[in-house]
Amino acid sequence: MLDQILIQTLSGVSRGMVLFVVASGLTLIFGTMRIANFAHGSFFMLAAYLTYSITQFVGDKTLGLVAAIVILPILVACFGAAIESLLLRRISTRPHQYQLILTYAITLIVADGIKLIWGRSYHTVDRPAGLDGALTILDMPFPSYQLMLIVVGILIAVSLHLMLTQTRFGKTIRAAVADGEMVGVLGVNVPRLFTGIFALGAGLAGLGGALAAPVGSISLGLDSSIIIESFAVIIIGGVGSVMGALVGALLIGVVQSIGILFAPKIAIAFIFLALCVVLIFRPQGLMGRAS
Amino acid sequence: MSQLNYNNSSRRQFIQATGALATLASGASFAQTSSEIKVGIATDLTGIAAAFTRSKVNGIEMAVADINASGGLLGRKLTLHVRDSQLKPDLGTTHSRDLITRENVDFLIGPNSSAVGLTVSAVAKQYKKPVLMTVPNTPRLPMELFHPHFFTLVPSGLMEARAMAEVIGRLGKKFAFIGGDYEASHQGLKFFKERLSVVNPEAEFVAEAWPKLGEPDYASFITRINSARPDVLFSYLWGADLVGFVKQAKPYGLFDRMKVGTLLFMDDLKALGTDMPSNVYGQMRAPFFALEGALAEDFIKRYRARFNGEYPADWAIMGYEAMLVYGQAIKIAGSVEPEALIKAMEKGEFQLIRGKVTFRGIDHQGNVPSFVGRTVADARYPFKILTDVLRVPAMSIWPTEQEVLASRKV
Repeated sequence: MLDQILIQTLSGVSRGMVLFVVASGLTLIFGTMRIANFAHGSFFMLAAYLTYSITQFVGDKTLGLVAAIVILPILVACFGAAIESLLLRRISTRPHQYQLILTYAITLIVADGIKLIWGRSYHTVDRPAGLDGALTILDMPFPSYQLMLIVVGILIAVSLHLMLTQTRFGKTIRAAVADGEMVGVLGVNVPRLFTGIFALGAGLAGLGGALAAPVGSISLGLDSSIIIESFAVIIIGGVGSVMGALVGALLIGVVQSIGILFAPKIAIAFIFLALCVVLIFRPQGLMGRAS
Repeated sequence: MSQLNYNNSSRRQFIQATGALATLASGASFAQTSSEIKVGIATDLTGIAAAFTRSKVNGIEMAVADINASGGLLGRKLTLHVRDSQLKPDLGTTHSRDLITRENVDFLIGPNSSAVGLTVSAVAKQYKKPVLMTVPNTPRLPMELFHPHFFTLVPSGLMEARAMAEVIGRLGKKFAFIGGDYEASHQGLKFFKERLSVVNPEAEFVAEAWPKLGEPDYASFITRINSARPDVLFSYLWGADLVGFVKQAKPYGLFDRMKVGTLLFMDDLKALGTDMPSNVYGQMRAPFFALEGALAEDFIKRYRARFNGEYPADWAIMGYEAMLVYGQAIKIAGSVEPEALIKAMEKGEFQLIRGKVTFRGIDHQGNVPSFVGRTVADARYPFKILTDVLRVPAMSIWPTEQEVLASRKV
């Protein structure tokens, strides 16, 4: 039983890491710009499909995946910057519902675009050479790629933390999370800052998509499954907090995996149970600021 | 005198004019009862199972072409009327109703999804038109929801679960299950467990996994199953879900650690190709490579010639067979009138690609076998096929008459 729990926890942590990368982008956008960016899931899905195409194009699975992981965050960041400056900024003075509807519309457009370009069938991306094997943990094979994701997730968390605390851009972001109006008063070019934050967030979603591509199937439902979980993560972790996103994502990944072990028929509900508990007892999220 | 003289010619003209008008007014019905036999199909042309539907319609189209080439039925040509129910039950209702009342089709062939199958069958019952199912296999259709115009050529989910229990039930003591979280899987597991307790009373279930339909990431389910260390895994995953699961489970060594029995369709074998592990117990409905006889060989050859070398999936074969049944029944009955047709279908012995088939009186279930074999590579094909294929006979797996009647009492 203990080894079953440990294996499920490991599996949950691996899953949580990908969720963290995506959700960290979402929490930054929501925390600073107060935009519930539904299109975030679409960025993730788009990156996964593009990873498939890049690996097909390059031919070599290792080179292809590396190329995708390097290119796609930049590509999706640019896509995000374009959406923010050309579309979202125009309606920034309107009530929040308009932005919600706009990002939702983008979700629909991207989903249909993907269907048009790549069709309805599922695709798969192979793991790169060297990471396509498995390590034996507790007498059971555990794929090396999934273990690598845990390491990469930690590195990304550390990098984001350093960026937020050591760079000017990062400090401005934290200031914007704390008090958006003050930042503008202090002379920061807010529109440019917001475009930058949106681009960073989108880029993180793109990175998540590229990293996750070899793990599961690449299908049209990816956007909805990741966006729901991402919102759960940022609410549990606290909006605007990257560390909160890490805690929330790991919590969700593990809770779901353990749920599959103990209550398979209702495992799907566990994330939402966790969400309810947090909202009742600590509505600002585990690492959010009480307002 | 002249006023009372209804001029003969003008009266004749009047009668002719009225007669011509009556003919034009009844237009469609008049024309079609004398010239065409119309086949109506409301099926799921779009949606996740679109490829299955395409295959089925290919089989039906080919059969219609074959029948028309040899002169049609009762001297009349067949025409196909296909509508897209898009996996939506309410569209299944609307389209079937439309096909019957406006297109005046003579009989129906069923859709793909069981949910749509329920509504299509209900419409057929309401309008008393024969409907023949080749894909939707929820046991509720022949059991509780039976009506005399309903017929089915596909083994029901109950039959398949029992067949699977017969074949893999003795392979070990500890069993695990994985299936998409929807009604068919829950029912399938229930029937499997019932038969398993008979076949192997010492067997027990050590793990159950219920991923959602369309789950992209099976990792946690795979580790769960692996760590429970079952001897046998019974999978109710199919289509893209099965393909995803197989690809993701291989790095975890799942297929080396336990025997696996799963629902399997031709489309999955093609999609996985050599990635499909060997020695998996696959359950199929109409595997072309396991069908013998002149009719089967001829069908496969001509299907491939007609459809770009594609090997016929289970759907194409059963679609073709649906038209074989209707064709042979119409010949026996000498008419397309619904009551005569269903009587002919009840009494007849039909020569189909899967062999000889009759429909049982109590539920109009065709006595078709369930095919279970082990996956193996074969140099002739770019995908794996099944070897040691067992035809588990309908008689050993279908519900007994008491069971059928009991289900209808409630």
